[in-house]
Amino acid sequence: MTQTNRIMDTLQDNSKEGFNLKSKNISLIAGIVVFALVFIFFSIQAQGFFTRVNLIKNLLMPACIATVISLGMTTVMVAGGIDLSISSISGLAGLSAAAVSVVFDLPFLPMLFAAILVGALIGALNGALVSYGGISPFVVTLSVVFLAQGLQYLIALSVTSGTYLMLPREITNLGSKPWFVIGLTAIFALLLYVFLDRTIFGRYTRAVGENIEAARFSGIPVRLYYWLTFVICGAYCAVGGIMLTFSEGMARVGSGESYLIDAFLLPILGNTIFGRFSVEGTVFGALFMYMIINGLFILGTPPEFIRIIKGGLLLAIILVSGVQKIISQEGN
Amino acid sequence: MNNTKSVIQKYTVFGILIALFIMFSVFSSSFMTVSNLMNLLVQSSILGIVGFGLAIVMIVGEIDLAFAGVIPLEGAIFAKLLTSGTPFWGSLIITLAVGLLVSALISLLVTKLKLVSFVSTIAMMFLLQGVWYAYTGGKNIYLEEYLNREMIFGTFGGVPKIVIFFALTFVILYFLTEQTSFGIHLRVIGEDPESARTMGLNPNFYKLAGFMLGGLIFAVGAFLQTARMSGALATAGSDMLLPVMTVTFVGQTVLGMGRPNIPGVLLAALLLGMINNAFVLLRLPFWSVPMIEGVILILAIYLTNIGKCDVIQISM
Repeated sequence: MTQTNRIMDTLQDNSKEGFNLKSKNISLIAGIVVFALVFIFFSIQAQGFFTRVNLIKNLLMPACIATVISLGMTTVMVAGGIDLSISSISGLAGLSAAAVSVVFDLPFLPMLFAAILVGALIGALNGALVSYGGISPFVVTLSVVFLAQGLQYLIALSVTSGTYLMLPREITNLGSKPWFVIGLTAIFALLLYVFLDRTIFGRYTRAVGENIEAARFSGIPVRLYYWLTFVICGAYCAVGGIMLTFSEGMARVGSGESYLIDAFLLPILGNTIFGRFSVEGTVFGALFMYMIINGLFILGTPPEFIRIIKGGLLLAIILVSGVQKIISQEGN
Repeated sequence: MNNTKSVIQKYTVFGILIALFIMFSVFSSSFMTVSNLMNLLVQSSILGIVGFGLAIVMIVGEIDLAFAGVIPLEGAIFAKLLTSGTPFWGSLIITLAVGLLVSALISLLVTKLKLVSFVSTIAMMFLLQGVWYAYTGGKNIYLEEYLNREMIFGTFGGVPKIVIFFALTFVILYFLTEQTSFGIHLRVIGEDPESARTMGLNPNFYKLAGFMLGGLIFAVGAFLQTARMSGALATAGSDMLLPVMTVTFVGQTVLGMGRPNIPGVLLAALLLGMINNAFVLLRLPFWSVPMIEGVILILAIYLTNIGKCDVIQISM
């Protein structure tokens, strides 16, 4: 890209920013109104939607796992990257923590640390190749998907002879306790919120995502922060993987695969509504998505259509953001 | 120093290909037999053909990951049509039409609505996988008694017909992309859209052409895959995502071109087919193949990147 192009881009970015400031409130209000309307609709139409058991067990708890995994993706997207390996990292971290706990008979906290360590290591590999190797994040993380899957088979086959690991009941009981799942999610969401929006490090990370050239010229170690987002992503996926393992009651090869689409959908949905990638946006996206799925389930939609709904929604959101971009360009 | 680098970049894939070929011949007695080498070519064919499709989309500067969703869907449509009594050619034409339709839709999103092809085709991939799931209920559709495999996998003068078809596709696409003015226009659109516009070329038309051609080739690949497996299998698409990406990206590095090209895809497909084949012969576990593919992919891109390692971000 030539210098002129770069300047043009910066100018365009600025004008987009101006548009966002105006339209940010509109889309936020629209998002909340739609959320409220859908919630009221389901409460009236769907029998048993507005009950404590349904809201906590069927809506909040599945949404929590998706939230934690998507928070990892959100961090990467803040700095302008993408990570396809999140679901595989979740599976690998959950499985290796389970294997460690089976072999050494560990309680919960060391398991969590083992999982985070594995996740952060894979994330660090991703980040090093992307940020210091200069390879497209897409290609790197796609390769790591298969690397992590191979490792899952390796671990599962070397600890047991099958492709799954049963965990002791007293540990996996935690996975069905609402206070545990929701509490863990809240803690990690809060941690990430503080990091991204209340510290200088988060500000630097956002600067890398907004305009990497400007960030470099202001002396921010760009590569380091880009790398760091992948490490954080790996750690969050690992936490999600632990939660998933507990809620399934076992660790198996290929668990967490279905969360890949969520990890794309939720941050992008949050971005469209809140005007930037953020913790609150992702949490909102998770609640919104899982409310729709839960409500449609109760109304009798066959489960085969869930994937179409998610894929269609993702495409629709991307379309909306594309239209926003076109309108903002015509506005100038 | 610079010279050494470019030599390394040019011939890495060649070197790996030859080194692995010699290694496999030494370690496995059944590798260097005519029947196994033919088998290897058959294995590389479908991979190579789908890789050609992706390479053409990448030549116009976009990417189409929806193939991982569209291939199983087309396979399922083809299989369902055939089992419900539609004649063979009718089913094939409808399958190809579905492929063209999906590609037209994607190209509309990318050219008219200015969406980033990376993200929008991933969304399309998820959507089509969902459609496939709802359409088949997640079940495999088997075609043993409906499809005459001899027509595709029978031999013609000692060579399997699919290999001849692969070679023909290669020759046609090679001439189309490298030797005709149409191919050069495609490349200009991909490499420098601004100068293409000043030249008076219509980028939207050429992008549409690239996507459509890619979609057509994906549909052919879906048909061949279905025929090879004697049915539309659930794993048809997700199993292809990494190998096809590997083939096209490694293909970029061959011959030091640094851009997507058809001959590179051919060589890379042979390389991957050989690894697949030899790993089975050497009785290595099935999950080690994708791991090796991933390592090769990263290594190939790293070697072409030496000297210019910018941080790459993906715009939403």
